[in-house]
Amino acid sequence: MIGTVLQVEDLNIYYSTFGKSKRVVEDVSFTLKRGEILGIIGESGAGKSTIGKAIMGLIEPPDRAEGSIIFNGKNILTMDRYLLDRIRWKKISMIFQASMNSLNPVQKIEDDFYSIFRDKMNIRDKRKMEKMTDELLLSVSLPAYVKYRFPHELSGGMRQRTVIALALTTSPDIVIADEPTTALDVITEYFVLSILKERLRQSGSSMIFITHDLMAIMYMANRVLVMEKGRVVESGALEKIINEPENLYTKMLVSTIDR
Amino acid sequence: MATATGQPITKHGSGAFSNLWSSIKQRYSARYITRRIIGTILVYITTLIIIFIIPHLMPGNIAYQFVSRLLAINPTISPAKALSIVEAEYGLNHPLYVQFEIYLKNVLLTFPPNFGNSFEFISTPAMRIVMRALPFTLLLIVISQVIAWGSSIYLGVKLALRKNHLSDKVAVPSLYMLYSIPIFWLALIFILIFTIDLHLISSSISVSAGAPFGKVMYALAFPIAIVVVSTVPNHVLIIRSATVDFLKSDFVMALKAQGLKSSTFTLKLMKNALLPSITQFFMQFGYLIGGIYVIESLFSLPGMGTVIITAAIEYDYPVLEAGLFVTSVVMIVSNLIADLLYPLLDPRVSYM
Amino acid sequence: MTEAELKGKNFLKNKFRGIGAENSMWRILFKDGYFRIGAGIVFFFFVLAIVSFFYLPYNPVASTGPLWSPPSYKHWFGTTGSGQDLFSQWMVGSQPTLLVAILSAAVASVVGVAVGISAGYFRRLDEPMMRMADVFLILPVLPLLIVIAAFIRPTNFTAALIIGVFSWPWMARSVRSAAVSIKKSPYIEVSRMNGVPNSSIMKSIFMHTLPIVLANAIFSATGGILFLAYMDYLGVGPVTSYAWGTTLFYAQQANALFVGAWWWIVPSGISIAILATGFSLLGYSMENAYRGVSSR
Repeated sequence: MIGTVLQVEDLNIYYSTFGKSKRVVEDVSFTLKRGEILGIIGESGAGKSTIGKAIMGLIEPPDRAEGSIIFNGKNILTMDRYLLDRIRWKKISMIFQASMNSLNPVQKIEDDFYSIFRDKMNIRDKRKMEKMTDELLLSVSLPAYVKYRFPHELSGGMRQRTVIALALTTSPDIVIADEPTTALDVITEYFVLSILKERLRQSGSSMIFITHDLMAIMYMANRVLVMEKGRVVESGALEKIINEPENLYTKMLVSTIDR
Repeated sequence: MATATGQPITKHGSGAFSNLWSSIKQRYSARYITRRIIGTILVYITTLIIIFIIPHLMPGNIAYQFVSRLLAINPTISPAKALSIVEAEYGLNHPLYVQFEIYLKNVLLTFPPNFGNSFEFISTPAMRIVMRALPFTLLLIVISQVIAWGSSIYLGVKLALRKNHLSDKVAVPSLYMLYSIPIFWLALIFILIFTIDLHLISSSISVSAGAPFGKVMYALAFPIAIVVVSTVPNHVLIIRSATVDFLKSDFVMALKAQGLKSSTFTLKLMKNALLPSITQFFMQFGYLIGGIYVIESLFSLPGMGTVIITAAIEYDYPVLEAGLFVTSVVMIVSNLIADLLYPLLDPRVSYM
Repeated sequence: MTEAELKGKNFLKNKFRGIGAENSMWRILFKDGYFRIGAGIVFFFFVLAIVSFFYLPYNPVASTGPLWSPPSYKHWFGTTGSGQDLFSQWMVGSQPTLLVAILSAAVASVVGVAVGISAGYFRRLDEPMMRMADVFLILPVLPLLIVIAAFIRPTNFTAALIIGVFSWPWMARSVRSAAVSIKKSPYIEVSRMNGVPNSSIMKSIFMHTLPIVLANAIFSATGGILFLAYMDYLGVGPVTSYAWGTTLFYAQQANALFVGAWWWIVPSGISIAILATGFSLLGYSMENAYRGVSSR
């Protein structure tokens, strides 16, 4: 299929706690097209973030994932570590939920960038790395001095934008954004989202945008999956979901919009 | 950088130093420093009190011990007269609180602190005997712990990354087992295997305090190996559990998602693991130092351990007091340094 | 009791039901392999100690066989340089080891819990008490214990007492931090607002820290075993009893090592390590289970 970058089929994910296995994602299938922003919305615990992790190949024993996630003709779920590491961040990158905490607390921001340059892009020239870091930071409206800071010295919005810059460092094919703005106030949220949208447009990456915030979905997404208790209960173009919701949960969700 | 731009390296160095200084000023408030110093003084005084009390736990007078030793050397002296001379010399004829006062004066107001002359080496000040042994012990501790700690950080992180795998499941109980082996028994088994059975190493290489460095290292190699083997399990367990704790955090998930080279990944985690385990290390220090003392005494190395344990068995009070005093000071100082270094190593911590 | 107090009490009670519930700590523990191994080891030595009160193959301190005999059918663990039966010595050695381990853990627990909970609960006591704990943490515990033992020539009970006195700060620290976090938890805040009396809140905090106390007590017991071994090995341990460390002391005295009498050295040392490992595994699995339960 031309234009499809990612195809998820019959994805089932089981979490295991103390020997008991629990299915958190049930028979989820969807495709992601080139340059598209696919929104996944649902209440917390619906399994949205788990899907994001599965696409990054982060479901590890004792948890397990069944089904297939096809990227470039290969199934991510059955890939070995070596192949997986070649895709991770280079082809698919991720902006994590609560990205407040997704930066290593004991290293400076520059170290995060430099290790990606070194390991993923084979750039070792210190000057070049510095210059590229400055450009990346600038592209998310951050001043260059941010690279000398530790995460705890930055504000929430700044950290969030740093994480976005990190995720877009290698201009990947797919960016998975897992509740990227949940912890931010509304104005910062809008600012961050607009930067994210603009950067995606520039790089031509596709995005899976995971959130429980309908407003953010309406601002960002072209197409929407609605999830409830691990299942996709409804999917379609944004306008269709907003204007003619079919499922009860979707109806309730949409009814919260004040029109 | 410095050489590439032709700038002298010293300038770069002084920049680093002023950076350090400014970050020190940023991270500690005067209030914290004062509190920490008061705390240290408190520990110091408590230690002094405990050291004073220990000899008095024994029923009877310390002077009897000394006199009986004198009698053994020279049976012609009169016990009663000797007793009164010794009591006067060590201030033992005073009531307890006066003795305490004299003790405090001798320890606090003189430098080096004066614990009197040794009972065993009669005309040598106890402090001199102990200070002669101190460098040796410090050498043993520093070398063994640098080796042990360095390898443990790597092993601990690797093990934590393999949690739930078979290797970790086997390693944890084995490490507990190794940790539970008393160091002296490990030494006995080492001697049994390497010296008695295999004739590989001579276990009794005698060195004295002033020996050349090469010879000292030769004598120390075997004891150091034993101390390393005995302390690595403890360190690995500490670092493993610290690492397991932060492996669940979001930033580790993010790091995994970045698919970095495994060496980069491990290196980053080692940096994270280093910090929480430093405090743990110093909490275990009191036990560790004891084990090292026992090893010294077992191999008859001229260190603090031999001095203290011999003094304890021979009831050589002044040397014993001096030995415990110096040990405590070493611990207090190293704890203080560790505490003050911590915020410099961990950017999140500041003592305000 | 007012309605509000009752409500608060029930609230606390409901919060506690977790302990008996399906996924409780104990259920998890019994499924844990480490716990089973640890419990098996400790149980074995307890049985050994009890049996040794009633039955011993030989008198452990009398010369009952050939000198320096390696393990044989008659003397399973061989004999010492003066013909004492090492198997009997090994059996007897479990008694003081377990006694001192448990007593010292009990002493450490009582002091540690009292200090930890009051420091965690009353803010005014927190600072001085924790500073005091820090003082004890910085002391060179093992050298001090050896020296003190050399002076007072302890019995099993005084040995346990001094070991306990030097090992409470670990307990106090972890109990305090647990108490602080429980005190901050919303349900305790709610019951305080509902007017539940201090004493019953403190009791509730105590009940909640119980798993931590137990895990730490078990770790203290491990420490007790090792401290006693060090004392005995250096010949300054309890004079009235014959522990594994004592066996090693006499082996050292008789130069067993250089005669090559490994059987005099190996069983006692391994037993010290195995018993301590057993306790460690119990503590480790309990700590894990507690973390697992409390993090859900």
